[in-house]
Amino acid sequence: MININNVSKDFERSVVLKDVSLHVNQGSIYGLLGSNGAGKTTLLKIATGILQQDHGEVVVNEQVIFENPHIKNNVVFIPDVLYFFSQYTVIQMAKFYEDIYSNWNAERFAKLQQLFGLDVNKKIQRFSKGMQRQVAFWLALSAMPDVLVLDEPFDGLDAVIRQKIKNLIIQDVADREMTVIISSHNLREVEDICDHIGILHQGSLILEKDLDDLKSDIHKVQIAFKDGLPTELFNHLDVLHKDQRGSVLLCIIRGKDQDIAKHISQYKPVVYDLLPLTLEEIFIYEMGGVGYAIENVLV
Amino acid sequence: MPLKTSWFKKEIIKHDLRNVGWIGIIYLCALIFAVPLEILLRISNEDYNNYYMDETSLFNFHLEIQYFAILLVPVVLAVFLFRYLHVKGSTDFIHSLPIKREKLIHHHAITGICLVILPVIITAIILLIMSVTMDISNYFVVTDIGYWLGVTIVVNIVIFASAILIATVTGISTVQGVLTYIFLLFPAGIVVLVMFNMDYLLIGFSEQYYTNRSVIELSPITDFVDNFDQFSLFKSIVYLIISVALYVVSVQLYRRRHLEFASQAITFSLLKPIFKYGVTLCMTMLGGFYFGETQTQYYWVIIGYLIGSILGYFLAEMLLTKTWRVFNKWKGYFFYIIALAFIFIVISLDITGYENKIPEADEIEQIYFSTDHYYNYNQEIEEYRYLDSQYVTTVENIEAVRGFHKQVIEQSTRFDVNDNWFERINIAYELKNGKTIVREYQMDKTIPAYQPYLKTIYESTEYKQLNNQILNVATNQVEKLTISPGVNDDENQTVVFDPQQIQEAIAALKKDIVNQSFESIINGSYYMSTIRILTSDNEDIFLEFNRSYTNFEAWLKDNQLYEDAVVTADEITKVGIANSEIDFYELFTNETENNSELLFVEDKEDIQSLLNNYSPSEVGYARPPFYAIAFFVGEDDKDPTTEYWIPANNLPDFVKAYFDLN
Repeated sequence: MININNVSKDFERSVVLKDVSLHVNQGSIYGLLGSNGAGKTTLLKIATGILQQDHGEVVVNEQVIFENPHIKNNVVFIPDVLYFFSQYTVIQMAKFYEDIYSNWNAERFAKLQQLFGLDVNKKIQRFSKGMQRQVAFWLALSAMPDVLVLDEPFDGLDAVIRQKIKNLIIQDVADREMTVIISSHNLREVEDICDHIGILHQGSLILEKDLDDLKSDIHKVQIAFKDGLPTELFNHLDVLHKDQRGSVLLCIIRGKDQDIAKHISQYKPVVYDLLPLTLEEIFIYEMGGVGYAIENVLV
Repeated sequence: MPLKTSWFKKEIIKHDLRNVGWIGIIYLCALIFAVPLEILLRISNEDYNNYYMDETSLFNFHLEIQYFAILLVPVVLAVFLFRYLHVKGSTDFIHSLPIKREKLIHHHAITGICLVILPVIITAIILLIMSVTMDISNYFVVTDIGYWLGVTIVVNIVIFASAILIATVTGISTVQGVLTYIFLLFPAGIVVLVMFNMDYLLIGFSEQYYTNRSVIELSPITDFVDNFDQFSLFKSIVYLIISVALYVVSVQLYRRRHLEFASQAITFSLLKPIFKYGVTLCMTMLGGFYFGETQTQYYWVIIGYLIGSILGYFLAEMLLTKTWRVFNKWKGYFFYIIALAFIFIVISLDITGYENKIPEADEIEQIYFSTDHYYNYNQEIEEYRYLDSQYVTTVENIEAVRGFHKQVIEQSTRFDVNDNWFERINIAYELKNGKTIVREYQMDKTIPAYQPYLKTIYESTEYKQLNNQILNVATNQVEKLTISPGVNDDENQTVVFDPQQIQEAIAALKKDIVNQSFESIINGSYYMSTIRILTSDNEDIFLEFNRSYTNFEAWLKDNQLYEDAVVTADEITKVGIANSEIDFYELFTNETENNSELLFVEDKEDIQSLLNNYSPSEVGYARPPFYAIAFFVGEDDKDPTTEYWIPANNLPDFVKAYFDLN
C-alpha cells in the first residue's frame, strides 16, 4: 500500500532523513516511533506528498504521491498542530472538505456528529484543544480515506476521547481496510493499536517489526542448575542478555519457545521458567547498543 | 474510483473571498470616493472654477488617493492571498489536499484579478451611467472612462503579477510586500545606480545620457506615477505580456518550491547568494551615489561604498538567517570587497581607452556642445521655441571642440565631483557612421588652457545661433519690443510698437550679438536693463543688455529712447552694498550708517561707476562671492526699490577696497 524507498531529505545542510525505507500493508496500523527531532513529522509529510524528498521515492497504491491528486484524494493527514481556516465553523469546513475530497460521505459526517456531540455551527477555533482534535478526526474520517496519517494524534486528549478515537480508527481499518500511520514519541500510547512498529532515530529507521512476531519471538528465561552452568548450554541459542542472580540465571533469548525449551531441558535444569516480555523490555534488549535512543520512546 | 471532474473548486474561491474580499470592497470605496463622488460634489457645488478644466483625465480627481489605492491594493491582496504559503500550518494543510499546486495558484490568481478588476469596472459603470444621465461633458467624456479603466487595470495586473512572483520566492509575508516594491522599482533603480557609479569610475562618463526620461518607464511604479495620462496601447500590451510572463515564471517556481522553507526570507537556495550579494551590491552603489551626489569630495564616494556595502551585506545576512547575530560572518564580505575592488579597478583602468577617446574630425557629422549646467541633448526643448538645432557643424567649431576636449582630458581628474561652481560640460559627437560618442565633465571652465578653444566656439555665428533665440527670429516676426531699465520698471518701461522702429532695433541687436566678443560674453558688463521681445507667435524672448551692444545703444539714442531705457546715476539717491551671504535686506532697511558689512554710496560718480561695472550673477564666468546691491530711488531711503546680485569681481575698485577684497 505505502512504499517508502530510500528516502533522504536535507534541510539547510543538516540531514533530516537518510535513506529511509518503510513499507506499510493495506489495512495495517503502523506506529512510527522516535524521540523529538528524529524526523517523524518530516517523514509523514513526505509520505503524504506535502514535502518532496531529495532522494528516493514514495509510492502509494502503486503511484508516486507527490503532486498526484488522484492518490492524495484518498490520503488524509492530521498534523500534530491542527490547522483550520480562521473563522470557519465545522459545517463550513465540512463543505470545504466535501468540495475537495470526492469520497466525502455526508451520512458518515452526520453519524459522527452524534458520536462526538459537537455543535456544527460553532467556529472551530472557539473549541477547546481536545474538541478541535475531535473535529479533525470527524472531518478526516468523513472524507473516507484509504490512508490516514496521524502525527502525534493523542497529544492532549483525555483517556475517554483517546479510546473513542482509537475505536473509530480500528473500526475503519476493520470495515474498509483503511491503512493508518501513527507517529508517536511514546510506545505505550500506541502499542495497543498498532500491528507494526518502526523506530526512527536521527533520521534513520533503525528498526521495523511486526508486533506479533516480536512478542512470540523473544523470551525471558530463568534457569538454575545444581552443578553450575553447563559450558555448551548457549551454543545453539541466540542470547541477547544474561544476568546471574545467585544461582539463578536470567537470560533473554530469541527463538521459538518450543525450541528453547527442548534445548535447555537436555541439561536438566533445577529451575526452568519461560516468561513473556513486555514490549518495553523487548525493545531494550533488541536494541542493545542504540538502546539509549529507544528508552526515550518507551517512557 | 470516480473523481469529480470539475476543474473549478468553488470552496477555494469562497475561502479566498472570505479571506480577502474586504480588500476589494475597500478598493471599490476608495475609487468611488476619489472619482464619481468627487465629480458629483463638484457638480452640486456649481464651482465655476471647474467649468474649464485643462485636463479631462479621470486620474486628476484625487490623484493621490488613486495613486495610493492603485499601487497598494494589488500588493496587499497578493500578500493575503498567498499568506498560506508563508505560514507553516496552512502550507501543510493546503498542500496535503488533493489539488495540484498549479491549480491552487490559478484559483488564487483568478480571485485576485477579479478583486482588483471588479471595483474598477463597477466604478467605470457608475461613471458611464453618470455621463449618460447627466450633463458632465466638461468633466469627462466616455473615452476618458475607457482610458481610465484600461490604464488602471493594466497597472493593477502588472503589480499583482509581480507580487505573486515574489510570493513564490519568499517565505515571509512582510518580505513579500517589501520585496515586491523593490522588484517593481528595480529596473529603473539599477540603471540609475549603475550609471551614476560608472560616472564616478570613468572620467567623462555621461550618466545623464543614459538616465534620461526613458528610465522612468522601466518601472511600472514610476511610469504610472509620471505618465498616467499618456499610456499608449502599445505600452499596455507590453505590460500585459510582462504580466503573463511573470505569472508563467511564478507557476514554475511554485511547482519547484520547497514548502519547508515557509517563514524563511528566500525559499530557493540558489537565490540566497544572489539575493545576499545583490542587496550588498545595490547598497554599495546606493551609498556611493548618495555621498557622491551630496558631497563634493571624492573620498566621500569611497566612504559611501564602504558604509553601503557593510550595511547591505549584514542586512541581507540578517534577513536570510533571521537573527541579529551575524557580525561574525566577515568572510563573505571580505571576498565581496576583493571582487568589487577588482571590478572597480578594472573599470577605472579604462582598458578600452574610453576616457581618452576623441573621434577624428573627418568622422564627425555634428556635435552637441553645451557648457552651461543644463542638459538638453536628445531631449525635447519645448521652452526654447526658436532653437531648432542643437549642433555645431562647421570645420572650425569641430576642430575647436576636439581641441577643447583634448585639454579637458588632460586637465580633468577622477576627483572632479560636484564642486558647487563646477560646470557640467556635455559633448556629444554624432558620427557619420551613425554612432554617438557622449561625454560629460564636471569642471571649472575658466582654466586658461581652455580659453582659446572656447573663444573660437563662442564667437562663431553658428554657436551664437544655438544660444540666442533672437538670431533665429525673422525681424518681421517681432511685434513688440519692451525695454525695462532695471530700476522702477513699472514707471519707466520703454515700449516700441512701430514696425519700422522694431525692424531697425532688432537688426541692430542681431548685429551686436553676432559681433559680440568672447571677452564680453564671459566677463562683460551690462546695463541693468532687460530687453523683452514679443513675437507674432506670442512667445517672449528676454535679453540682458550687454554694454557691448553699441549698435542697439546707438539706435536707442537716435530714437531718443536711451534716457528712458537705461538707469543713470541721477535717478538714484543711494546704493547699498553688502555680501549676499549675510542678511543684507535687514541691513539695507534698518541701517543708515556704513559699517564693516554694509556700504552706502551716495556720490553720483561712484554710483555711475557701480552702474558701469554691473553684471548679472548668472551670466558668463560669474563666480561667488556675490554682493547684493540695492538701489534707493526718491525720498524713501528705508525700502530699496530694486536689488541685484553681482559677482564681487565686477565691483568698482573703491568698493573692493572698502570690503578688503583681493
